[in-house]
Amino acid sequence: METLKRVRFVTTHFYSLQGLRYIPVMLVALIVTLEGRLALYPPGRLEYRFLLLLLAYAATEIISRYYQRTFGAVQSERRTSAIITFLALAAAVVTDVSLQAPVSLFGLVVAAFWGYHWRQSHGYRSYYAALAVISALTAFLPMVIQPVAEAHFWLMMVLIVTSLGGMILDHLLLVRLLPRQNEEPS
Amino acid sequence: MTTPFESLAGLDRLVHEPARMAILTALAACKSADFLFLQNLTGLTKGNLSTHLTRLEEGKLIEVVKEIVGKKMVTRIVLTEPGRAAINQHWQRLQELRDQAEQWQAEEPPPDETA
Repeated sequence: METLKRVRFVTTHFYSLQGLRYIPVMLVALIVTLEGRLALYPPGRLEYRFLLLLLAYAATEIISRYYQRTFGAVQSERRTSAIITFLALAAAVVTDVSLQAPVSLFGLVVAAFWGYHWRQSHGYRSYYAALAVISALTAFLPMVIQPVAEAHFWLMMVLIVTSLGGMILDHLLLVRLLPRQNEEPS
Repeated sequence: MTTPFESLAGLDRLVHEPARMAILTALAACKSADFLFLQNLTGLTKGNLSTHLTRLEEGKLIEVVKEIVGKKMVTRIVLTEPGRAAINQHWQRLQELRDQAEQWQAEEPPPDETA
């Protein structure tokens, strides 16, 4: 029964467990958040961001090939949850920037995202519960850090770093749940 | 009334074999999966997995599609409609058996060995 639970979980969540695939995009988000403070390049220059995105895309392609060659491929059922998540995150950013509210909607949406996927994981992704709690707590940063823009900076930093941690843990979970292929004894 | 053990003997052996049940359960959770994924998932050797897939294909529970992607031959496995019905029905029967077994234990407690 436990094995069949694992089979169903890995098959259903095969792509989201490939955590390394999302790391290049998250690193771009981290660099864009830090660009003003680190002076890596003239801040706000779109061509640098475009170049970063191009590099992230190339890295994601390489990582995708690694996953396909190592673990195989699954064609999943069509899901709308990714689109809904993206729209909710975009709406939350717009709301946070325009309202400058003491509680960040973006942090709450991210917390809801981790919480929802923790509930769906049948106990396999217990670390998502911790990510949900951290994200929910960061939503209240604008209450303790002023000005609000500074609070938003730290909120983004915490969310990106914790997400990176979650993605690495997802990858490790996939490696643990999918035993290496057995070869016939020669 | 049949005991849970008698009902167990009546299960479809093509589906009930552990490796095949794992394959069918995985395929029921997606549109299709390739050979490498199923091999990693079940931990079977290539030969063993091929044998199980052939049995399932002969039983018309799955369809094996071979296609060329780039320069590589990829084997994709798809659950057929009868296959989906068979695994769903099998899970339902297992659940019924579980319920039946729990009830059966409650009705007939094991004899006291110390007596």
